[in-house]
Amino acid sequence: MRPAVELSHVSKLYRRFARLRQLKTLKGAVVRDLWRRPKLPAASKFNVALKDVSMSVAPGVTAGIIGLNASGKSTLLRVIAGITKPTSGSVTVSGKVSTLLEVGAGFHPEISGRENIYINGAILGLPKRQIRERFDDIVRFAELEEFIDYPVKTYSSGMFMRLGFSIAVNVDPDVLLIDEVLAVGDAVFAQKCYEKLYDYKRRGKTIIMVSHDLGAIRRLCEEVAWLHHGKLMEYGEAGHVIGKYMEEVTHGELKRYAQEHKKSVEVMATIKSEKLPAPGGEKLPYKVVAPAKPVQPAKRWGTREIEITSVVMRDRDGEERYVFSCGETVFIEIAFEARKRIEGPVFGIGIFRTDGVWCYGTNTMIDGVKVESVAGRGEIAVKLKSLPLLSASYYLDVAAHSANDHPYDYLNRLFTFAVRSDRPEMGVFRPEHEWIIDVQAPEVPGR
Amino acid sequence: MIGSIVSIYRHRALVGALVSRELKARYRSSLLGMLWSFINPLLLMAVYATVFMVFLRFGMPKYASFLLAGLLPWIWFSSSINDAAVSIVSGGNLIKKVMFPAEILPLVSVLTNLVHYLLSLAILIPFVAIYGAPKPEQILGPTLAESAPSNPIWLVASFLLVMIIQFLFTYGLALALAALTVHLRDIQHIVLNLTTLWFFGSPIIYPVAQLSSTKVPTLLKRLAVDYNPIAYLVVAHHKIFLCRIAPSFMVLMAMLGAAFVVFYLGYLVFDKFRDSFAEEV
Repeated sequence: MRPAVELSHVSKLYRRFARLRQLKTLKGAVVRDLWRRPKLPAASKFNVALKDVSMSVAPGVTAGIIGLNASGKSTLLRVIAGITKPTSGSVTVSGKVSTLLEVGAGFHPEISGRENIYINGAILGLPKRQIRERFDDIVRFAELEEFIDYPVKTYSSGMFMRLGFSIAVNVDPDVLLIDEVLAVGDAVFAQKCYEKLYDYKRRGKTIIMVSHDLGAIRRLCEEVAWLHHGKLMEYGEAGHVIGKYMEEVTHGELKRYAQEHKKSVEVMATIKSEKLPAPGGEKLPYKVVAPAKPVQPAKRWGTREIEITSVVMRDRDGEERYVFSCGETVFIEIAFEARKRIEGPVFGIGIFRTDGVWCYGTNTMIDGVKVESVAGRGEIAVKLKSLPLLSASYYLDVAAHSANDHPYDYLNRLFTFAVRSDRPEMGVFRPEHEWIIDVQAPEVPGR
Repeated sequence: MIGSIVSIYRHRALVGALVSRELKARYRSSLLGMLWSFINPLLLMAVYATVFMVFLRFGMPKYASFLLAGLLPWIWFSSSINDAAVSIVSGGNLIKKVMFPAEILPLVSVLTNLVHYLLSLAILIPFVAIYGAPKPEQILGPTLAESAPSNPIWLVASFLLVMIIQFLFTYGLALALAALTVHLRDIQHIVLNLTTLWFFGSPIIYPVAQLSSTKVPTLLKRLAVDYNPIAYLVVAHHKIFLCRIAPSFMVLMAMLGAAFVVFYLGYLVFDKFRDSFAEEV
């Protein structure tokens, strides 16, 4: 069977620089750069949006396109729709295509919903007769019966989107292209949209959709294409490709946080200690100040009789890692060097969410752990049996000070780590919990 | 180009819908609505008539009729190209999000203004009939004005031909400007000012006859009359609506040929840049 959509070796380059840099004069613009056949300039002048993409979608298949931002998803849809031409390669589409790249593209705010339906329908390629036949369906689907004769500018954004979506799905194409527009209106309408798409699927239409909502992709699509920097990484069965994609995303995040930590370690050596807080009964900022600003620059203060030389986080298996899942066991290792013999030092940690919420803080003294004395190099570690924080980025602060609050070395807002959770819980942390269900069965009347 | 014409024909319903959208949207929520199509040219005519008859004491009798006859084709032309210059840039949503032939957008600008032009002709004819017109020699000069009034059928036919000529000329220019503006937004401002110069350089507020009797340098005279396509169109309107003389067949054919060349060149420019619209808009 002929595929509904076939791409073979499709590449797309965009010019990187704004015209202004290239075109100094009007004459130059017309004569030099635009009129003559553009020679292929050095590769660096171009952004590669798509790189040698080949795939074919069989009729009746719903295919999802996933990938990070700027991976070429929307460009791919536009190339399939014929809105932009590929720089090289070929695209074949059999059947009538309808695009839903933007809801309500071409609506004119000054004229009524009714007139906009006719115009938008014409733009999407529907003959007037068919629009007239489907007019009532379109209006009913959009739930705009009472407002259809008011100018579109009086519509709420939800009404606007409902109308746009309703027209597009009523075009009844063979191939429907959708770009991240299913976030339309309220939950009830979104449900209707999904039902419409299921209906399309049942009738054997081909759908190609771009979405960041992996849940929606999983529900709707049999096949998924994963784009990364314009390259087709994987195309095939949905669950398999989504799995691979998730793996890569997680892997990327791990790497990013590990790099972040390495950078922090480099920074740590370069930060000079700030001035000591005035001696006396005054409390130290570390203890007093709940951070006011969401993100503060990294700070370091203290006399450095004990100097913290490295901070490492590890998972239960001793693997160095800076992304954890909620509830994991975490080790925090602090290496230090004492210039002279110090009696009874105190080591502490603090965890702040990046928006400034102080999530937790403790030290050896609070926990009743006595460090007798230190001299030279040493290491102290704290094991968090369970890190119950919810999905977010956090700062890890570490400190060494004396029992009467004389600071040796404070590292503040320097190290970061992240917690990832696949449950949509809300708040700061997850207390260990369980639900106890004791519901009485409703009485059945007449028994 | 044939393919382009075919695809416009296939999208004729869309062209119609877009033109009616423009017409409806322009006067929407104004009290007089479509009446503005009649009132606008009349008001503009009144402004110039006041300036030239009251302040500058311009001596032509029935000057208002003369002004109106020249203003109408000019308004069609200048509004069309000024609208068309930004048509693709401001229609960016359609170009980027929907697949449809881009040449429709400048066409819609030209056609929308054609509708206004046709409506305003319905004012011109009774206006000239009631108010009267200057004598042919006052408009065209003594040499050109000798021919007798033409046969009405030929008069109407020549008018239709003039409209076709003006349409081709305007659309050609509109295509080129629309495409170039996508790449160089400066063009819309240049066009706006050039049309003002073009207006005063064309025999709209003064008759051709006036120009030949003054001490204007010959080169400028030739630029304003002989090498100015708008001058031919305006003079054709003067002849047809004020003097009831049809322009000569040869002149019309030459104009048609020239208009077609402009249209074709404009189309070439447009076609050259077509593929870049979706990326540059």
